[in-house]
Amino acid sequence: MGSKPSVARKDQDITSPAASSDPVEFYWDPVSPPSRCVHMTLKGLGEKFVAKKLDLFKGESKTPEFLKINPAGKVPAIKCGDFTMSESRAIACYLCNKYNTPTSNKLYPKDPEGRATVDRILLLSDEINNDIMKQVNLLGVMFQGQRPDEGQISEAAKGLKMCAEMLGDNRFVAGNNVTIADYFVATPFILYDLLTEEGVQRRFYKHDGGDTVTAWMERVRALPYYDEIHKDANEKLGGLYRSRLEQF
Amino acid sequence: MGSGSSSGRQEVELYWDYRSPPARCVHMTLAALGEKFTPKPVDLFKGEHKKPEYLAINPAGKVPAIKVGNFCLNESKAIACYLCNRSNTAAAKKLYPKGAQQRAEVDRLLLLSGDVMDLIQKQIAMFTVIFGGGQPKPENMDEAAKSLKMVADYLENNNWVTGSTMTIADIFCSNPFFLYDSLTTDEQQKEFYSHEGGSTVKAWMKRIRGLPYFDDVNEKGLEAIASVYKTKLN
Repeated sequence: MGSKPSVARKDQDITSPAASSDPVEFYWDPVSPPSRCVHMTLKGLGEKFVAKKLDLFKGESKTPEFLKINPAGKVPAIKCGDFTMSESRAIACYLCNKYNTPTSNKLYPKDPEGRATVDRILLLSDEINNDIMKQVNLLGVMFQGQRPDEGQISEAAKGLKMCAEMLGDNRFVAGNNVTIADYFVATPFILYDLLTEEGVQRRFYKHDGGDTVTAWMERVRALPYYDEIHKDANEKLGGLYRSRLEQF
Repeated sequence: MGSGSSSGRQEVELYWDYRSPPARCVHMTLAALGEKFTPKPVDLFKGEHKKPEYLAINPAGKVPAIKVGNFCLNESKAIACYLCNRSNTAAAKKLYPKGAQQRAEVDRLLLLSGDVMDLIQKQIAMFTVIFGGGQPKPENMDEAAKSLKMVADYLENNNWVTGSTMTIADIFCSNPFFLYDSLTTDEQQKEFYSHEGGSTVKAWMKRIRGLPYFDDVNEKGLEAIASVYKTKLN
């Protein structure tokens, strides 16, 4: 992470909705979890965008053309005119700020307290992901010949507790409306459910917060664009993960 | 502006320990905003962050946290952004620009600051030394020094990480380097800053250290944490 992108050009007038005439170009690979978070944001916003799918395993994120867009050679990335961005959470916030519509203002509230709640959860979503990955070990399995670690199930379940605490009695993590925070917090649980056996899942969701999180995930899965984004991506990622496990 | 809890008139209560690096980032932000606040010290070494009164403010039991009216917030970066968002002053608009692209640059750098801190900690290992009986890892200096190029690439020939104006990104990205300097020897620092990006980062740190509120916010805290750290090493 951390390579400087192209210089930001002078800002568009953000007081008029959809001020920029350039459609956002979205660079992604369905197997990349943070790509899915940005994809959900784009669909949630309902604005036009151009999807540029890259195959990470074919090295398509390391081509000279893509490195011009993101010198770090990672997805997700976006390009809007001359402006390029990486870092999924910063991208999601940028997209909402850019469009400044009633929809974007629900996904990323403009009132300081509402926004702070989402910002805080976006930061904590990393912790939840790390907890879950102690068991699922996505990167280790995919790239380092490692295995998942069921012994870490109670560590993973800390993520469950944290998520349930965020939810409280609300329908979604930051309140009663869907926000970009839901996209980022849901992703580790989508992966957990995809990459673990049913019996393991049952044990997992019996931990503190399991029922609350399960009920919320049903709401997330009911979002109109959910299947479009996750169905094929899950098949591809699930297949790759399991084939890695069989290989080693 | 607005009603109730969005009013900029309610005073911020800052719950913090002056030694905590993220707490000092929030303090720097308040100072940069010129915003008055009520300090509510929470002594980490006395376990005050685990007491019920504090857990009612921040159930995560960490510092910093703020309370404005009935609204409580933790996570230093979220706090810094919130403080700027709720203020309509010229200072706030510079520290956290409202334009989508400029704001995105700051947001990305705020995330980067976490990576900078992680790299620095690979050498200084502050938590394990102070709380876990561990040792620093001077053999990781090359790894830690990757943080210098990372930040210098953003600075280029500019005064600040986003260009010509100081933002909260400068506060958060510089914090790990000031911590590094307080926990290492002069010799180690000489070697560290001789890595790529080192002189650019040093010049930028000098600018930040020259801010009128820098010493007020950081001097005692950095000295205190250094003193605890060095005691643990011996």
